[in-house]
Amino acid sequence: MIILKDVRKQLGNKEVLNSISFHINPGESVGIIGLNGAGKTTLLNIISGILRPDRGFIRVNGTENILSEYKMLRNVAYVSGTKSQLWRDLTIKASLENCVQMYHVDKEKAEKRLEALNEVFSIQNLLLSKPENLSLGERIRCELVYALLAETQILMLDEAMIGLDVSIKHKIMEYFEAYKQEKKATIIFTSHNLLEMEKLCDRVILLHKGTIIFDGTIERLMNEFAPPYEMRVKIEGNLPDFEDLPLEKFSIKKDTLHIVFYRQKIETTYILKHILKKCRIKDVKLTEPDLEGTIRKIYKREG
Amino acid sequence: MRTYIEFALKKFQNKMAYRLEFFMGIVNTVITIVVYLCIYKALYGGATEIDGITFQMVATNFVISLGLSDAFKYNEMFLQDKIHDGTITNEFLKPVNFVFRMLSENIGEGLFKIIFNFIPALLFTLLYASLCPPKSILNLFIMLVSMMLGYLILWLISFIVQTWSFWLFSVWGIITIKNVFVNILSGSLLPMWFMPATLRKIISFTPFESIYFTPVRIYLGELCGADILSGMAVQLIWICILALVAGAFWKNGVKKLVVQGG
Repeated sequence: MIILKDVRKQLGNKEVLNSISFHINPGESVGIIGLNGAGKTTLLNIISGILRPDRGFIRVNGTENILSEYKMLRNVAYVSGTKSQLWRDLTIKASLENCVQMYHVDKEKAEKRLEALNEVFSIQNLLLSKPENLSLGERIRCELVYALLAETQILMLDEAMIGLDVSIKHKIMEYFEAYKQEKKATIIFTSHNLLEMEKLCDRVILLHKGTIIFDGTIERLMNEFAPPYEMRVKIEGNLPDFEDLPLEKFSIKKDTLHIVFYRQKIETTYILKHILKKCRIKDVKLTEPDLEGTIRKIYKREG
Repeated sequence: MRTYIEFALKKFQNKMAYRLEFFMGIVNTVITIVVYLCIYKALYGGATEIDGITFQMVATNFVISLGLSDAFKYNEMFLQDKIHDGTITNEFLKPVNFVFRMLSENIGEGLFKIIFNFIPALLFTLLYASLCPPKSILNLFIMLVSMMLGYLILWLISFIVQTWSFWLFSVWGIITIKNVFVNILSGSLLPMWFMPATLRKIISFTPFESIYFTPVRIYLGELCGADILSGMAVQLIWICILALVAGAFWKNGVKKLVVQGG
């Protein structure tokens, strides 16, 4: 269990985190969303112990400062897209061997895990290279294997998918989903890619200027903050009367109706049935609000 | 402990991959030793001894101290680089002691250089000059222990200077000055025997004499019985003092990093 209560952090003159409180249950996967400079990395650094809060209470599995307990550290893996964990002057293979030693992983188990990880991350041909000779995507794949080899209970991923191509990203996301289910691991994830968030996270925390502006499931976020649905209906016949319906907006251009509505107020089928009473429908195009649009709306509101 | 031995072995194996560096290391050590021997051969001007110090003793001092100082060289900008690129914080998340990890990796590198640079260079030097044999096998064995203590003193001095990277943008200049002090005051450039008595007295209150000169004196049999014990006790005392100073700098540096964020 990860608990934060009234955590505050100022770096220089900037208040990076202001009164942050939440808890993460074991096995939960939480996404931290925020614009650049919102305090996502600072928050992860504080949870991991590499940054101390100015005020507030923090406990990771009952430990205040995990850096002081190696047993605790063996349960935590942190992957950062910008800061490498690998040995700069050693080959990837040697770095992975060091990882096995440090995390006290049984050698046979480690070999099996590496074999399984290699199927997803395809790093077999990178094992004898040094990090400086790898592309960003290749290095990130190796960083992820390094972090997953120890099968830790807490996994912190800070922009850990940068530089990965679409095909491998998909495989990796599936691997993380399975990892979460099988190992009951706690995953804390920061990314600007909301599709990844949606796929991996049970819950999201929205940070804005160092404060939490939302903490809950993606479903709740969509219900509460999603922008309206938009529907374009090509009709033939008389124009129906929409005055009695709880729509946000409607207009007609030539033979196409443009309707804006919230699904919490009115169902799509109800609107279509209403149109069909007066005319014939030739074509329908429905645009659903996505997570990105929802978050954009929230940040626009927050200024 | 096994983890740290693995770190040292990895570094040792890694060094083996660089064949050119390996050969250049031997050449570098041989050239350094031979140049100094030539200078001192000229200074001796055919005399067998000066103030009771034979040329053979001087040559032995140079081979041991210059050879070891070459072997004990490593990347002293390591900590500064880690602080500058921010990866130092990631190191704290590894479930090992970062300082011991640094030490074991440096030991691994030093061992490689002793076996593959120092020993071949020593053999090449023997073709050029004759050296004093060890006083006895026991002296040779004790000298090896004293050499390890000397390495720890040198490493701790270097580590203390490296920790200043937490407060300074660059420690390159300070490291350079430190190396000049170490080279002169440890007797690897100018043997301690030829230093003025006052300077030698001052140096005896510093850790520098314990780095190379104590092992050299044990090897040559200049220190016997109780003197060996007191020489090594001084080495141990310096290790304790320097470890305390290094610990204080390290602790405060890390505190600065986790409180102020670098």
